[in-house]
Amino acid sequence: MKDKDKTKEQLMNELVELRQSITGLKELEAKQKQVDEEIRLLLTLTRAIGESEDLKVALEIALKKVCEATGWDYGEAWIPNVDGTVLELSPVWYSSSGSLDNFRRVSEKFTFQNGIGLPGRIWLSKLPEWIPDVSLSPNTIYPRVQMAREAGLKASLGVPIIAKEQILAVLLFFMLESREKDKQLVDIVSAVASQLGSVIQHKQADEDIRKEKNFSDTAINSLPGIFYLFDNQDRFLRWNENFEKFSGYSAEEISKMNPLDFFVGEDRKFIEQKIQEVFAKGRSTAEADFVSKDGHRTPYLFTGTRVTFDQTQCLLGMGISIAERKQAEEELRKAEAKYRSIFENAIEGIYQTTLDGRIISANPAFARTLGYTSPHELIAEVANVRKLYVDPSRRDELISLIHTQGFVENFEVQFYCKDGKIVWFLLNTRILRDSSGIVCFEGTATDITDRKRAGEEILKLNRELEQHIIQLGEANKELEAFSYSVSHDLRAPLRAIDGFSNIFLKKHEDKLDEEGKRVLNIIRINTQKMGELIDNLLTLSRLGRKEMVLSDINMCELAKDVYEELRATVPGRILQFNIKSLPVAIGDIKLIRQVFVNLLANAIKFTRSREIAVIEVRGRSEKNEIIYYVKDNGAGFDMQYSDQLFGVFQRLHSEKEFEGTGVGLAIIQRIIHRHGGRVWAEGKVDEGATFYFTLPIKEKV
Amino acid sequence: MTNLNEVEILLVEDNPYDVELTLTALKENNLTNKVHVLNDGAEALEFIFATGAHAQRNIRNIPKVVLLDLKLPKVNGLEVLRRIKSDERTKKIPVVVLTSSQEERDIVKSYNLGANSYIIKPVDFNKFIDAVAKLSLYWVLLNKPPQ
Repeated sequence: MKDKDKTKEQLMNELVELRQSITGLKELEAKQKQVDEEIRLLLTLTRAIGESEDLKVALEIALKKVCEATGWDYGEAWIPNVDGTVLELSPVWYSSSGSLDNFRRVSEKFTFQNGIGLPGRIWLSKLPEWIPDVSLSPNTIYPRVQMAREAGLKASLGVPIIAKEQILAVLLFFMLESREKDKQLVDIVSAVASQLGSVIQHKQADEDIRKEKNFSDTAINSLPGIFYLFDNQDRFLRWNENFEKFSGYSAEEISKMNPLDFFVGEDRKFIEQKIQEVFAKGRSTAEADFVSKDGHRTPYLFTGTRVTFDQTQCLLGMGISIAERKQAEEELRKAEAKYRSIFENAIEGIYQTTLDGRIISANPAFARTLGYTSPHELIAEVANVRKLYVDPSRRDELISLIHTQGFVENFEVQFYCKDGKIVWFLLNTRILRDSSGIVCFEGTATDITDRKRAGEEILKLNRELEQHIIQLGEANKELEAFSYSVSHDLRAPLRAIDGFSNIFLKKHEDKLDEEGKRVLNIIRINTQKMGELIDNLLTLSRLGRKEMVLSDINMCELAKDVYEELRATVPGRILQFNIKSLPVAIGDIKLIRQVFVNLLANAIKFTRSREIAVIEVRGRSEKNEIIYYVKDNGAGFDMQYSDQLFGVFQRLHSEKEFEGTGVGLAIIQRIIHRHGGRVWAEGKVDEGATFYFTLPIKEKV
Repeated sequence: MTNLNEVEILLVEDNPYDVELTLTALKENNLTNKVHVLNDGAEALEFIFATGAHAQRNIRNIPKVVLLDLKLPKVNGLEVLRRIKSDERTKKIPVVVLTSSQEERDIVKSYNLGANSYIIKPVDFNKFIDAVAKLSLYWVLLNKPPQ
């Protein structure tokens, strides 16, 4: 049958079929178009999610894109809470219209347990679920049904986001119209969710690694010492910042170094053995000096543990500086040695006793002073310190003092020595409490036996001295009384003898022959001589007692003055007096005047036989004294008797040659000695004499 | 015996030989007629203050000079001196200490108590005569006492 043969009905049928196939084609075409769009959506989403920072941002993108691309009006995400008991609404959501805000707000108050409500069912089943019209659902299936009705929400689709079998989130989408399940739409959204799960899973894994890395870096960098990890080829794999800081090497340098490069000398070999030990036995520790880049050595304690890292055996460990500990140990050792040295070598005794008197410790000095060969012997033989006390009640006094004031200072006691001798000690004692609260007495004992004896000796000497002073005072008084009576009483009889001899001579001159007169004259001469002797002796004795009044003395004037006085007593003589300016002296002017009187009188007397008497007075300052002399050209003397010159009653000339009492020079010597000076004389028989005396310079005598 | 109200020189001296020597010296200078000698300090005080044995004497009649030894029985010379010089009625009497003592402290004490002179008796008789003569002439003849 040709086309024209076909019946109208046939044609109509064909037309219908054609139309149908055109419609089918059109549908097919539309479908194809939808698939293309969906693939495009998927690609866009995958890229966007891949670039997103975290799950929240990824969810936000997914909800928005899915709604826009596939015609959903509202999208939300439910996320398991921290302990995984319920689903909570994520803060991210999407809505095409503001009319859904209220639904959103109220939904935030909801949570869904596993298997309850649409999100709960998807959490349990891990499968997508489509509800054509939630407003028709009973409350048991859809708890938010009343709210959904009010919001006008109808069709709903829920899909799970799964990563590593775990539900990360449940996505819910709603439309404002009801719709039968569209399998293709379910597939697309499921594909998006699946994609999302996979991306998030990777992201989370990266994050975990990053966190772990961060944690381990923080951990090893916060270690107080150095941290190191090196493999069995001695290559450093990891180390901390302290390692770089303390060693002074950069990371790049360390990466090329050998662990042994940080040690020198003996330590190098030692550490090498220790490393071997770690690889052989699993772990070890070592103390050695860690040498930094600038050569500085610091004592360290190192640990090493064998670990497997990337299928390689490695050594992981730490090093901590023990410099402070070492220094503290050294200081403690020194302090102990110092204390020990003081204790052992002290001259003073040092001891510790218990409260009831047992000797805990004693130093060698304490034992030695008490006559024991060693502290050991002392402690062994003296069961109780009380036994040492000569007067045990002193121990009670000591203890009572310590208890009241906590210490005792300069407490004098007598102790028995091993051989029974008694020694004096000066005790300084205090209570000692250690951390466990035990109390003992600790103190020092100074041997003051010699001091005590010296003190007693001084007291004795003082008493003797006082006695001597009293005796001396008495003797002085006696002497004064004696000289007083000499002065007064001895002269009266002499005066009587002289006086009555004279009267006798005058009254009875006519009855006396020449011999009688001569004898009476001898009596008179000797009486007068006796008077002179008494006067001179009294002068001498007074010199020793008279208090000196010191002043500056113009010696030249004084000497001249005395000379003039004496000159007048010898009017017929020819005298030549040579004097030049003399140094000023400090002394008692009356006494020094007496010196000049005696010296010049002697000079005049002993030059009597000279036609012209030459008398010279000179003086010169030396370092500590002034030397004066009086020189004459008189009779002189024999130097071999010069030491007798200054003695009392010592005379080198006969009474016939030169009259005199032999007291004059003794008086000079006494005066000069009282001034702290010296006297001496030089001379030669018939060639004159020189008499020297000195007076100290400056210092008032 | 001299009229005790007309005594010009009062010699207070216990040593009889010194008394004789002194009188000899005075005689050589014709001064003996108005000399009165007392041998101890107590009597000297009685004489001067007109008490005791000398109560009948007029205290207003004072000697021209008292020659006073220091070493005296009963009351010593320094005490006699002190009493004379501390009494308004007698303090104007010139007192010459005539003694053997050369002690500085005796000299100082004497002058402090108001002695008018201090003479050490020389051992040499000629010097002694000379000294007594000079002092007597001075105090008896030359010195002008207040009326």
